[in-house]
Amino acid sequence: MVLMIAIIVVSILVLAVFAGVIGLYNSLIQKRNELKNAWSQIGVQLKRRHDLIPNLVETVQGYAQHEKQTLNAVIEARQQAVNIQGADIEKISKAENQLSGTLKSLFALSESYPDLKANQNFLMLQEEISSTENRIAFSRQHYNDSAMELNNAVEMFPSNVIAGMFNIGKEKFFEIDEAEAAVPQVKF
Amino acid sequence: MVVLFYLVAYSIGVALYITFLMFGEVEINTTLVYHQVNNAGLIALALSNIVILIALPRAENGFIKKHIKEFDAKDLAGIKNKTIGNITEEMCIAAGLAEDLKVYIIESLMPNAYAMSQPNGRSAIFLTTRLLEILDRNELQAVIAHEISHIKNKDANYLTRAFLFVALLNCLSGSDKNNSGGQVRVRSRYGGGGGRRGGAIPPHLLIILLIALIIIFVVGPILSKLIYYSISRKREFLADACAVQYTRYPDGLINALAKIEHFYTNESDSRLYTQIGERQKTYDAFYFFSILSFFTDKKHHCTHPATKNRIDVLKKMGGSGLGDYQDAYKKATGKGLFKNLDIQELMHQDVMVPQTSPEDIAAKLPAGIMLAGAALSEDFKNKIVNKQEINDLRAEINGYITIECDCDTRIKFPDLYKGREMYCPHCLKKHIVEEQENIGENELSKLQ
Repeated sequence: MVLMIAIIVVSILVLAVFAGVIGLYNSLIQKRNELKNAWSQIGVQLKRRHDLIPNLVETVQGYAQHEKQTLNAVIEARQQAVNIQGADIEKISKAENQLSGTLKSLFALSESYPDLKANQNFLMLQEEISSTENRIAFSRQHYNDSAMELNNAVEMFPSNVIAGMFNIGKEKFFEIDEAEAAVPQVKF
Repeated sequence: MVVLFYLVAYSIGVALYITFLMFGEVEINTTLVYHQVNNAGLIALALSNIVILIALPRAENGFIKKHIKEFDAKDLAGIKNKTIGNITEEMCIAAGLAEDLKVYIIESLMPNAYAMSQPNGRSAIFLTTRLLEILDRNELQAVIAHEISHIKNKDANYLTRAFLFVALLNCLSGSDKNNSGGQVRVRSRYGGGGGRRGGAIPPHLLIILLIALIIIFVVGPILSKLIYYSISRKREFLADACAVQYTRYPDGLINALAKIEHFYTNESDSRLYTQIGERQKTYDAFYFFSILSFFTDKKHHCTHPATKNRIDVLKKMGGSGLGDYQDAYKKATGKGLFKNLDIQELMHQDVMVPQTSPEDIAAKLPAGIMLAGAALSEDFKNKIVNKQEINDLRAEINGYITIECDCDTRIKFPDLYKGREMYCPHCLKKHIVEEQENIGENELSKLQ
């Protein structure tokens, strides 16, 4: 009778330990796979930048070019109008001077703030470049976080035994070199 | 931990109940939704709670759709500005979120945000238009990181189940507003108290059973409510900690909390406050900012910690990991935080300022440009001053030649006009278009 109880208790204990080991091993494997996923995620973001930004810049430049031609045409037209008037300006009376002056400033005013769409494109380009760089940075950050979780599990007590048994090792963090740590100069 | 408490309490209750039925006749009458229920009804109610818990995942899979329909939420398809989508994507990457996450916008005059997660892997974040008007990019990113950490920790599902438990206990005891209360009558088949007549329940056992009954039906409702609120507050702290871990920038969340609190205490229309609907009370645990705290003095009945406490803890952070948050919490309140939640590793990480933000690039702009609404507001793109600066930027990139006239006008010519003689449009002075040195700030551009 006592033997039976002892056998039952011991077998429950053994099962519990076994379940614990399985649980720890599975969590280590999960962390390692998450780390691999995070590493490939960095590559995904880099490829996105490689594919996206040159196309965007080209599009924006193409549109700006098209608008540059429009702007050139407008400036030409204005200068022609001014040239025609310019020859007579010294001779025309004050009232006409003022009138033509007003007309010219109206013209100039509407030309200074034309509703050009290239603005929106540049704003969008700025946002997209900024966001692409942010995504690359965040993917590296996530890689570091996952590496830290795995290292914690590999080094802290109950799971380091399991990690030793199954040869799950520590992982390195993402490092940069000196050149990349320098402050960039923003010059226009 | 609380799940364990739930299961243990539940099983104790069921066991006691069955014991009563076996050893004595216990009649418990409670008025449930205007009709009397006897023992059989109570068993049915308890069983139906179990059934609800089992069937809940299936029901939960339709919650997001219900919410979209109810609040008329629109997704990001109609918005040309990609900022919100970009911010959400960045935070998903930082959090390692594998789920399918969509952002929806609700038209509202009150800034708020909440997140819902479904068991089938879909989740959604709801933002109001007012929130997008008030916050700038970093703060919006902090709010979205907070919501994503709610999704990652499955707080919505957890709190729903806790709420069911609270509802069950309150229903049974009749402390609901719909019920008029309950009476518990314990009648022993063999007479109460008195002598033993072959098989009677000993009186001390009866008293113990009675005490247990009182605990379940009287203390239970109050205690379960307090536990629910306490869970909600702890989860909010956890979400704050995870948000800072994802963004690595505590100032973003500090500013967001401060701005929204300032809005609710100073700027919002008091008429909006007059009535808190039942719906607001139900979902209050999920919102980013809870206004119920303005209506009650009892701190323990609030689903969110006091905003001042949240900001205090964030300000004292020396790094941006969960371990740093725990240390800051200890400094601010003297208590531990993550003891009974499932955080195994407390992390210590460095604070990083956002790598590139539009604010950094546009640091040359005069103050007040990127005031608010960088994400959504329409008048942002109509601000002439900003447009002018972007025009200048475009001109420089495209190699335009800038000439400064004596009348303080700056004229920009494409390089096609190099060497030609051109007139200033304002004062008609002749200029030859060539590079000028030392163009500094003039009065006109300072005005802009």
